[in-house]
Amino acid sequence: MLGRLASQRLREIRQVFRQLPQVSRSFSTALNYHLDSPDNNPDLPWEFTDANKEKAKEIISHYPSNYKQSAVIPLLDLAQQQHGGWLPVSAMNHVAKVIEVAPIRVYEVATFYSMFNRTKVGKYHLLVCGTTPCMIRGSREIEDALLKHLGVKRNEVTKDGLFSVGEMECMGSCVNAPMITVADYSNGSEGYTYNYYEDLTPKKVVEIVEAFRRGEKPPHGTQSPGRINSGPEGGNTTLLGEPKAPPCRDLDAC
Amino acid sequence: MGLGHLASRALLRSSRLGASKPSHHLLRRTVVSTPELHNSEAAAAEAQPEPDLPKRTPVAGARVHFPNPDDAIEVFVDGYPVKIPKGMTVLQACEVAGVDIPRFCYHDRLSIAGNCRMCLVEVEKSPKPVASCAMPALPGMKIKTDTPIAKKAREGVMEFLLMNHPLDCPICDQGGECDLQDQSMAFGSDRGRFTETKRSVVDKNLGPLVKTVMTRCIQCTRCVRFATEIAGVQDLGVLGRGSGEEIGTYVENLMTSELSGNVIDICPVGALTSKPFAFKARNWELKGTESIDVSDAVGSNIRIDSRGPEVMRILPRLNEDINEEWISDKTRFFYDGLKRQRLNDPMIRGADGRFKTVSWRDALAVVAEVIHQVKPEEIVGVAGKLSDAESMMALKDFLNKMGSNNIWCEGNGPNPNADLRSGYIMNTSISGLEKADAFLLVGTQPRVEAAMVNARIRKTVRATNAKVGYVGPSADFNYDHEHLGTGPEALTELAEGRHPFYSTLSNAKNPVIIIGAGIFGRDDKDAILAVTEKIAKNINAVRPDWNGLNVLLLNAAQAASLDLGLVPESEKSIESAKFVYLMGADDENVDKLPEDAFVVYQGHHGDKGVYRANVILPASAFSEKEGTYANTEGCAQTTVPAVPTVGDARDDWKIIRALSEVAGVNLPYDSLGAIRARIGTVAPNLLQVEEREPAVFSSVSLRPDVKGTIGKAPFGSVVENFYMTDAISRASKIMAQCSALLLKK
Amino acid sequence: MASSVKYLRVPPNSGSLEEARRRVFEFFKTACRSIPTIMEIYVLDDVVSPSQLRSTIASEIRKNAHVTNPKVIDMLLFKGTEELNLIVEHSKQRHHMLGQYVLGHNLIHDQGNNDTSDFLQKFYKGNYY
Repeated sequence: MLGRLASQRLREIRQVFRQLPQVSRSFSTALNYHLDSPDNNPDLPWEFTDANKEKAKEIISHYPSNYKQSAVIPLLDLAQQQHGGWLPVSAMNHVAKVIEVAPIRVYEVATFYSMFNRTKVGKYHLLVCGTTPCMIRGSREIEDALLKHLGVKRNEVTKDGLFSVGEMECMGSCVNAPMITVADYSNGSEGYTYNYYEDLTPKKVVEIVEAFRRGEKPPHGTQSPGRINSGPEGGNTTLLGEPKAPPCRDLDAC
Repeated sequence: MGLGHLASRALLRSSRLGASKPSHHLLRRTVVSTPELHNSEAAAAEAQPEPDLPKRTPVAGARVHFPNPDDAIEVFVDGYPVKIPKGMTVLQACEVAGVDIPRFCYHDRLSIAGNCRMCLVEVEKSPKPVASCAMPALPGMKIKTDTPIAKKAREGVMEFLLMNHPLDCPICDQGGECDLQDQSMAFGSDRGRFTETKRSVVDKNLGPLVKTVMTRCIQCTRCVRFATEIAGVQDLGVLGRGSGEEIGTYVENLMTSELSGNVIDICPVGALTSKPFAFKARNWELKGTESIDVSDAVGSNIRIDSRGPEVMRILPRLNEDINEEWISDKTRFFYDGLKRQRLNDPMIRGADGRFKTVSWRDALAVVAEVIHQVKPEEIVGVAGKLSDAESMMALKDFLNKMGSNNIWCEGNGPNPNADLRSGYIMNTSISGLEKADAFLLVGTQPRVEAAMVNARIRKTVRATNAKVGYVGPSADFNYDHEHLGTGPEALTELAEGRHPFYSTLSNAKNPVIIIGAGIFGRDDKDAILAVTEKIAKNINAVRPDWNGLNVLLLNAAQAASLDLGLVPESEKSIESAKFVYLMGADDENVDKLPEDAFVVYQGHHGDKGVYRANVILPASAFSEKEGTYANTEGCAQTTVPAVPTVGDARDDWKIIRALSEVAGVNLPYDSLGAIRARIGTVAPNLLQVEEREPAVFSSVSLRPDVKGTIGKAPFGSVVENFYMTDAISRASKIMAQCSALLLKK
Repeated sequence: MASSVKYLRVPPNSGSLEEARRRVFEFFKTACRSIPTIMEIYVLDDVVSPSQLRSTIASEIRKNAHVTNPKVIDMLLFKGTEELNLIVEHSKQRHHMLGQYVLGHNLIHDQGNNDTSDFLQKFYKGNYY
């Protein structure tokens, strides 16, 4: 009897959860297939710039000559930096040609990794960490503030082409949660940066965005004034004295 | 285990209890059939130490081949000891021991993926269940396949697989022959715990042959591995990750492979099904007939599935020596041509140029009357590319009795050489190609001429990095090759050792030369053959232990026709002919035929040959008759009737036999057995069905000297359109769609 | 089931040969009128033409041309009507139609004579013996 009641209650709870509007778990690009568009189709020419050709050569030289295809991830990354943060299908085709594999093998890799964007992103791609510690510390509010301030939906680019907002999984800055990452594609692959902004509040994140809009580069890392890197706020509270020397066994004593 | 098996085990136990009584010995004989156990002493010696284990037979005829006897290891499957060679996987060991392990992603002709996890078994001292398909068997391994752990593991895997699998079996074409269905009945749980919504996946367009319902896909990646490894078209891939993972081409891309239909067979679920067969029939309604394919000279073994008088689909049959377990798309999908443009009734062309339906009696009387009015040397017979050996034998005998010897099979050229069998068959044999380490393709594009031979070459190239040289027009290959030239001059260079590819050939241990049957139509055919033979001699391709000089034929009838000696007396006979008997010959050039010549067309399709015909005699197609076909390697195989003939058609040999009687030159055979006995006197190798008879003499040593010189004309491509080569495939709608959509223009 | 039986009402016996003959023609017309429906539900377009089916029906009827007893004709008519009903109600499958009414129905019928051999006589009769 009790068991039946319990299971019924459980079912009711589940029902409630199911009716919640499900936040779509979209990664960098939702679709696993390509749709031709004027700025993304296989007929567009795409090549590495001369500087990047050198870089690509250097990357390929890290791998044995008969395993060129191992260079697919760094080359895709390079192509993405060069192309303003995303990979059109012609860029993937070019990478496939460089490493001498069938294009589908490159598509497989590019669709697998969520850090490869296959649709257009802003010059500043803002990635909000959505994993548990950040979520508990308010990453949803951060994202809402960003989206509201920029007037876009997730994975959409602002009209001026400067910003886009995406979600990302844990980036290991949980001590300073909540945090966002800013991938800066505004200066091509030479000036490419990928920085963390930690200890955010909805107000601070808007300030950071505005600083970017003005062309500034706000200092990355923790945004909390009382904290150094990931140390505790207001200085250490423990481990204050000199650390003791390691205890050594007195071999003569025995 | 069957009831009978259980009963026999019980009997065995009872007989052991009273082994001293001689009367039980009889009982035991009925139970144990191994000969050494008939010896009572041996039986007694063995009965004591061994646990009570039933004898097991390997699954699906799994054979153990020990390349090196020292490498044998012993493992225990459910306590039953089994000897296997080193390097076998746990799953293969279980198969040898007679235990069938459920699997989805594992396929013995593809690389191992190990991603479906259905083949989990318990191995002693292993902390977790082991994926048997990817785990090499180690000496002394104790494998347990029916323990609670293994069963629970399978049940769990099955629950995960079914989580996102739609419950649409009633509208799924795979229903009834679905691995997932069968294995969930055998190993799955009777309920699932998944209450969320199932995912759905966008269907992909793979062309006119393969229908996709990607929501049903379980991501076994068999199709991806097949396309990459066997078909050699890298179009399919695994896209995305996690629950968003799907099989696709990413960019819009039809699967333009001549073997694409095979992904339908290897797909364990209903994700990839046959588009022409979609919603046409259920597989349990179909009658399977094991027959032979005639669309090319390979003679792939097929199963014709029919319902009533209709051929519903064609599937491959396993034959390791010829087609393994694949067939080409033409073989698989040209069956709908069997239902269109068929000749139903005997017809005679009237004075107004229109055909009028007549009775067999009248039609045969007219033909018999005309054939007696012409001179014997003006009678010509041409056998079509789909003719069986029996009807060709009858046609030859009939025309010979009429005094003519102008009879040939189309595709063999004006001056075929049937003297040496080694001069027109594939001496290496199709499976023998796997031992080769260098190929020279002369004027042949095996990909379109014989797709299964091409698959063998590709398999060899992939496995052993064999080098391929190609002489002929630029063509599409799905393996690395070196284009040596377009004309015969490249052959001259090779024969004189001047060509850079010559060193590759001469350094090869088992070189193979494949000459395309397209050269049979050339005037300098003998000279080209002589040059090729010289190359073969220089690179030592023909030795007592290895014959690497091959001819790749084009048509199903070719090998048998040459075996039977269908060689015309004169090359120009068609220009002076007054009576032409076309037995299914549609591609013979009849432009040069005199205006007043009388043409009889005997065949099953209203194709090209009918345009010039005066009399039409309807015959049965390969799916409707029993006939012997020799494939390009000289292996005789027989077709079996799967469906009844259409309309008032008759079997080919019966028509000729009846005509001979009406014409007053009675052929002395009334039955298939009698005509086969007659074939036995001409070409006994055609009676050794399903056994390849190699040619005795090689042509290198016996061929007479050739006087002709090699021409300058480059080799042409023989097969312009892979999907339309004969009367049946030209009548097929599916093949027309394929040639419109898939041919690379 | 019941509905199909309802329509199969046994008509009163034909009084004379003339009446039976009239009924046969009526049946033939009914059958011919249902040919388009039959072609559609059994997807027969690519294997047979309406005129071929009409002549098949006619030849099926002519098979019994020698019958003169009105009662026997009535009985045959009843069987024919029943068969037609089954076909129109889609109680049969496509291959039944193909096997019974499409294949082996050729317009030319051979009159055998005995001056030929056994083989030839069988040959004229059909492909299977």
